[in-house]
Parts: sequence; structure tokens; C-alpha cells
Amino acid sequence: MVVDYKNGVIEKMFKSIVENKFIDNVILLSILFFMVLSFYPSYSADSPISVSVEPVEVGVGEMFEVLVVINGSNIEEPKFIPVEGVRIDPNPTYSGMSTQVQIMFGKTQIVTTKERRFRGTADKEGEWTIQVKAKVDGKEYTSDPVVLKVSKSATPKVQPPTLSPFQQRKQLPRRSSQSYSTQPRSVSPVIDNSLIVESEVSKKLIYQGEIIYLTLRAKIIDLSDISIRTPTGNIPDPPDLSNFFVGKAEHSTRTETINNYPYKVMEHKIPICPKGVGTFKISPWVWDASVVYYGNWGWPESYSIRKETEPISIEVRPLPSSPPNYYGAVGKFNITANISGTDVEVGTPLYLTLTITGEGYPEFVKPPEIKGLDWAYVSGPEVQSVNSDSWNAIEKSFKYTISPMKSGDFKIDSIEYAYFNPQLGQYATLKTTPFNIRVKQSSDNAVITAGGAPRLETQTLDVSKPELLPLVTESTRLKPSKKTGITSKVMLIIVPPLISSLMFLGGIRRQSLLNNPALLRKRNAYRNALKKYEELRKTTSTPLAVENGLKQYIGDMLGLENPLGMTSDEISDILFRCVQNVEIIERVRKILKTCERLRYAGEKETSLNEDKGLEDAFREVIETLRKSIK
Amino acid sequence: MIFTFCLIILWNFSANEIYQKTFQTANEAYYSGNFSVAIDNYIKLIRGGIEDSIVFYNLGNAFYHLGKKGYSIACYQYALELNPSLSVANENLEKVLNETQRKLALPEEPLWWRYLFIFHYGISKVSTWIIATFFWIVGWVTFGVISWLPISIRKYAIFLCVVFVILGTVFICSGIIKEFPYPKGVVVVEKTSAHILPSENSPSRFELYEGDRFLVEREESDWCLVRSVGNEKGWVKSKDILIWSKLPVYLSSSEGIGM
Repeated sequence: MVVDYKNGVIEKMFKSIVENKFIDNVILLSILFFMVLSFYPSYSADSPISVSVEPVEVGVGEMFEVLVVINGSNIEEPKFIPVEGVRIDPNPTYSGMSTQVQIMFGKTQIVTTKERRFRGTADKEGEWTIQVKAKVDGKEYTSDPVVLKVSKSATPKVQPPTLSPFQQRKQLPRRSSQSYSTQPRSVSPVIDNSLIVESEVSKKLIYQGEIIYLTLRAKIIDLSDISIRTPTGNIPDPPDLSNFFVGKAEHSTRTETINNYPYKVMEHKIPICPKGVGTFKISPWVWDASVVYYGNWGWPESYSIRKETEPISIEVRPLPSSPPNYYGAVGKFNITANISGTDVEVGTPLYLTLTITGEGYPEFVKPPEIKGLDWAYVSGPEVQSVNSDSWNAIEKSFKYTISPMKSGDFKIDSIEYAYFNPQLGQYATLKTTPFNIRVKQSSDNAVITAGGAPRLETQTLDVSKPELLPLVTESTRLKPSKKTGITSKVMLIIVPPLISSLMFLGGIRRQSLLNNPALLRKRNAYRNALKKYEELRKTTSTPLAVENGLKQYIGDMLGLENPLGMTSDEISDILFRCVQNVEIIERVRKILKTCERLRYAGEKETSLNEDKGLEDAFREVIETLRKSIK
Repeated sequence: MIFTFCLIILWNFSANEIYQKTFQTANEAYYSGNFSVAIDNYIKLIRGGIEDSIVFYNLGNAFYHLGKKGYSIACYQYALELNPSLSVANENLEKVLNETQRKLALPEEPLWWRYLFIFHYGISKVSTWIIATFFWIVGWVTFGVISWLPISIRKYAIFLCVVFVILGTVFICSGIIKEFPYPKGVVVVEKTSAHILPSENSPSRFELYEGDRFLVEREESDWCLVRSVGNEKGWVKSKDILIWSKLPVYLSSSEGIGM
């Protein structure tokens, strides 16, 4: 058949060469090349089977994965050598094959690699050896043994130490190739139910300080061809419990059958205690996971699913009015009392230990007060807490140091300790047994040594009046303080920058004027004109003063060089170019002409009326020019 | 005008005399072991508006001998706030704290904060404001004259201006912090419970003993939310504690200290 096929191909090839079909030729030559190669001796290695187990350490009841890789030309399906403590599903969860062509020492070899993944379950504690048998190229090989350690604890120890016990779940297997899809096909009902997430609390109506248990449950389908993966590879974090004190969670794993499908059930029981009174909500426990389904061909297909629990509301009621000996404990407790001795000397300390055991939030279990011991000095207590993480069985000891200060027969009365029992909804009071103490006189009566706490053990309680602390008897500032208000401080912060900014701007302006003489001339034009006018009027004549004053002003305002040497017509011409108001130009020209006329006429003295008229005209014109020339 | 001026001088003088007399009376009462009388007289001075670290220090001593360690600690703390260099107050505070049940340290600001304001811990509020005012005004005056100075020396003026303004800003920040400090308090009763909620029925979270100091994070009618040195938080009855920044107001109030 093969020969026929080969012959057919060769025949086809020759035919196509003759017909000169180039692309067909290339394809057919390639096929021929691989077919010819297949007749060469197959590659064979000394250890063609390699086996690895992931993880290498699991708990009883937990799953693991075995990867079998076989190299060779003619490979039969591998078989596991039965082991007592583990069960391995003979049907692989993944099957893969790859072929490589190797050319070594001028010899061409084809290496086929078969990869199979199997899923197994650990049944018994111990170290189990896993071995695989397979026929490769007609010869039976056995793989090197691989050891799987099965521990009693369901928690695998191979996880990174940074993960919390809650997160320490078996890492899901990783695959090199997979296809992703979000649309489940025929397997959708199974995939939809492959993960069931539940959360519940032991009680929803509780008292302040009462502990309850939050149970988070994840049921994961236990089929060889379906696996659930989370983005991190770990169990998602529990819901937000910031309104609660959170105790140590208990983890358990079991199997369950739901709708004829096996499920692995992981349960986390977290003790919680509300931090306040009112209604508190526990947010949903969210699983964003992908379900990997291995189809008939062994190729994985991934579907995204999101499962979340319902939010839970918890109503926390306040405690009723408390009895006198209540110190804050809520739960169910017992108390025992022990004393280190009953026959002591004055100053020798006794140790009274009260031990409170039971169920409740340990931080609320406070030490009781020891009252009525007027014959002794009581210090402490030293607090010791055992098993404080597990709130269902706490043990808290309070060690008081009692230092007798006088001799005689005394009694430590029964100590009452009230706690609130949330089951009954009322307070209960515990009582310790009373102790009779005989205190003998010590040799030294003056000083009593208090024992107990390290500080007090070395301290001497002096009964005599202590020395007065020194006073400072001279004070120079005995007068009412004047309080500076906020307003004055704000003013102190705001005012200096404002004033300084004004000063700074003034300086800048001054600088800019110094750097620009034309601007400086313009700014001082009016003042200079009047100054010139006054000077000339006193020393010479009014017409000359008016003429020069006016020319000076116009020259300064318009930046003219030597304005005093200009004629009235030249001044008028310049004004025409700069000033729109023709009337004012005409007036300026007339005044200047009049002044020129009077000057050229050679009149030594002008009449007072003329002077007054010129002066008025000068002042009026100069004011008008101030408005016109900007 | 002169008459009014003389009248004011005379009135001031006589008032000062009265204060000195009250102060002396208080000191004498203290040395004669009559601490209650001494306390009454010191409180009289405080009610008269005297805010002197020495008066508060002496008052703290009197409270100490009366067995009121909480009040005594509050007085020393306030005296040190007024005058951080009053070493005797520091010594006595140490002594009283050593005699408290737990010798709890005062919750401190974060380390970065303490390093940032390392300079301001030993300076009183008044001194801080004086320094701040000096640097601030000098800095801004320098800024104002920069544009009036010859160009050759302007760069030095700018440098001085920047330095003074920065120093002024830093001391103003310090002054503001001292003006509005985190209220700190001390327990003045033998023992009190810090509850989870501001209610008698709420379970207690931890116990505080006389002389324990803490930060007061919130005040609500009869309750205060306090934070102790271990960052433990709880609600304590206002009457069981004393916030020392309010000490003059508290001592001046009609209720005062019930003795």
C-alpha cells in the first residue's frame, strides 16, 4: 500500500516535472524526502522514558500530575507500575507528539517524542515510587523511579513560604500550548458547574463582641479532563473583613458527589468578631477563574468563568447594661485561681494566678480587679495568653503579686468575674475559691519590699512622707499674657510680602525710567516746563518765558532735540503729525507767534495785561496739551 | 492724658503686686505642706490670665504631693510647652512618670516628621513666632530693596532674601504646628478603660492607668478617641482624662478640679 502510494507519488512527480509545474514539484519532493527518511534506522536512546511528578509533595487526598516523555520511533502507550499509596488515572489528560529530524555525523535521524500527562490522587501517607513501562521500538523500557512524598497534612509544603495557609493550594498544572475560548460548547453545563462557591456565617444576629464563624467553601469538580485555574494560581483572597477582628482560619478538604460528579470541597472556617455595633456587610467571595477542558484530542480549551458568593449582612446588637464586675469578656468562660502560698512573712510576695479559659475574642478578656486587700500591696497582673489565635479554646492567665504589709490572718475573698454569654443573651458571673492567708511578722518592719513586676521587685516603698519637690519661687513674668490672635499672625504673614512687592515694583519702575531718558523727559515734561517758565519769567520777560516753557514742554513730550531753537511754524508742523486737535495746535502756534513777535519787536517791557494774558494762555494750553499728547 | 497714663501704670503695678503676693502665698502654703491651698492660689493666678511655665511647674509639684499624678504630669507637660528649656520640669516629669504603673511613653510623631522639624522641639511657641517674624520681615524687606540696589550687589541681596524667606517660612510652619498641636492627654483617674465604641456598654479594648499619656484623635461630647504609644485606639470618658493644651481653660473653668 505504501509502496503503491510512493509509486503514485513518484509517478505524479515525474508527470508534473514533465508538465513543468514548479510549486507542485516542491511539495511533492518534500513529501518524498520525508518518506525516504522514514526508512532509515530509528533513533534509540538508553533512557527513552523520563517521568516527572508535579508537585513532588502532596497531602493525603490531594491530586498530582505525572508527566511522561518518551523518545523513539515506534512508541507504545506507557503503563504505570501499580503503587499502593497512589491512584493514577491510566487515561492521559493530555497527549502530545512531536517529530524532529536530527543530522548527526552525516546520518539523518527522526526522533519522535510522545508526551503524556496523567492525573493521580494520593491515598496514603508515605513516600511512593512512581515508574512507567513502555515499549519503544519493540523493546520494553522502564523509567527511572520518581518519588512522591505524601504527607498527612492536606496542605502541600512545597509552596512558597510567603503564601498564607489560605492561599497555599495546589498549584494548577501549566501547559505549553492551549487554546482559549470564552464560549463553552457542548460541555457547558459541566463547565458551568465545575466550580461552586459558597459562603455562610454561623449566626447573622449577634451581640457586640460575640465571635461567629465565616465559612468559605469552594467545590471544584474532580474530573481528569477538567481543571480550574485562577490568575494567580492560588485561591482568591477572602472577602473584605475590615469591620471585624479576624482569627486564625481552619482549612479542610474533602470529596463530595454532586449530580453524579465528584467534587473536591475546600473549606475555610474563619472566626470573626465585629468591631462595632450596627449592620455589617461581608462582601462576596469572588472567583475569577478559567476552566481548562481537555477535549478528545488532548488539546486544552480554556473558558473564563466568574463565580461569587452572595453578600452577607450581619446585625450586631449592643450589650445590655453590665453588672459591676464586668470587664468586657463576651463568650463562654471558666475561671480558676491559684496562689503560690498561704503562710508568708511580711514583705514576702505571694502570687495569685487567675486563669480564664473558654471561647471568645481574647482581647476582650481583661484582668479583674483585686479589691479589699488593705493588708497588702497588689501589683500586676502579668498577662499570659495561650492559644490566642484559636478563639474557640483560649486560655489567659493573670498573675498578681501580693506583698503583705502587715502580719495577721487575712482572707483573699472570692473574686467575681462577669462575662456576657451571647447564647443566653445575658451576663453570667464566675467566682474563684477564697484563700486564707497567714502573714507572720518579718525581722525588718520599717521598709516593705514589693515583689512581682521587675520594676517593683527592686523598689522600696517608703511609708514616710516623701521629700518636697523644689519650687521655683522667682518668676519675673507674672503678668497676664497677651494672646496674639490668629488674625495678627495671618497679617504678619501676608503684609510683609505685599509691602515688599510694592517696594520692589517701585524700584523696577525707577530703573526703567533711568534706562529710558526719553520716557524720563516725558514724565518730567510738565514739571520742567513750569520750572523753566518760572525761571525765565523772573530773569527775563514773560513772552520769552512762555515761548521757551511751551517749546520745552512740547520738546520733552515729543522727544525733540533742541526744541528752543525751533520756530513756531516748525513746532506747529511737528504737532500736526502728533496731535489730532487742530484747534489746540492753532492756539499754540498763535501763542508762539505772539511771543516771537513781541521778542522781535524789541519791546523791553510788555504791559501787565499782555503778560497776564500770555501767562493764562500758556497755562491753559499746556494743560490742554497734557491731555492731548500721551 | 498724663493722668490716664499714670492711672494705667499704677493699676498695672498694683495688679503685678497682687500676682506676686498670690504666688508667694502659694509657695509658702506648699512648703508648709498645705498643698490644697497652694493649688488654689496657683489656679487663682492662672484664672487671672497668668500663663507662666513656673506657675504650672509649681502647680505640678503641688498636685504630685497631693497624690494626683495625672494632673501633675499635665502641669509639667504644659510648663514644658511654654518653656521647653525648663529642665526642672523635665526632671520632675521623669520622676512622676517613673512612679506611674506602666511608665508609658508619649506617642511620637513619625520619624520623618521629627527629622524635618528637628530644630523646633527645643523652642517655645512665643520664641518660634519671634524668630519667624524676624526672618520673614527681614527676608521681604531685602526683597523690596533689591530693585533699588546697585546691580553689582543685587545677587547678594537675592541670596540673603531667599535664605531669610526660607527660614521665615520654616519657622512660620513650626509656629503653625505649635499653634495647633495634636491634642495630647493624660489619665487623671486611677484606672480607666478604652472602649471600642463611645459607650459604657461597649467592650473595653485596653486599660489606661493614672499618668498614661496618649494622643487625642477625636473628641465627642463625653468621650475622646485616644491613641496610645502602641497605636492602640479606644474611646475614653472625657472626665477621666486631661488634655494639657487645654489646661488653663480647664483650671479657669467654674468646675475646675474637684478637691
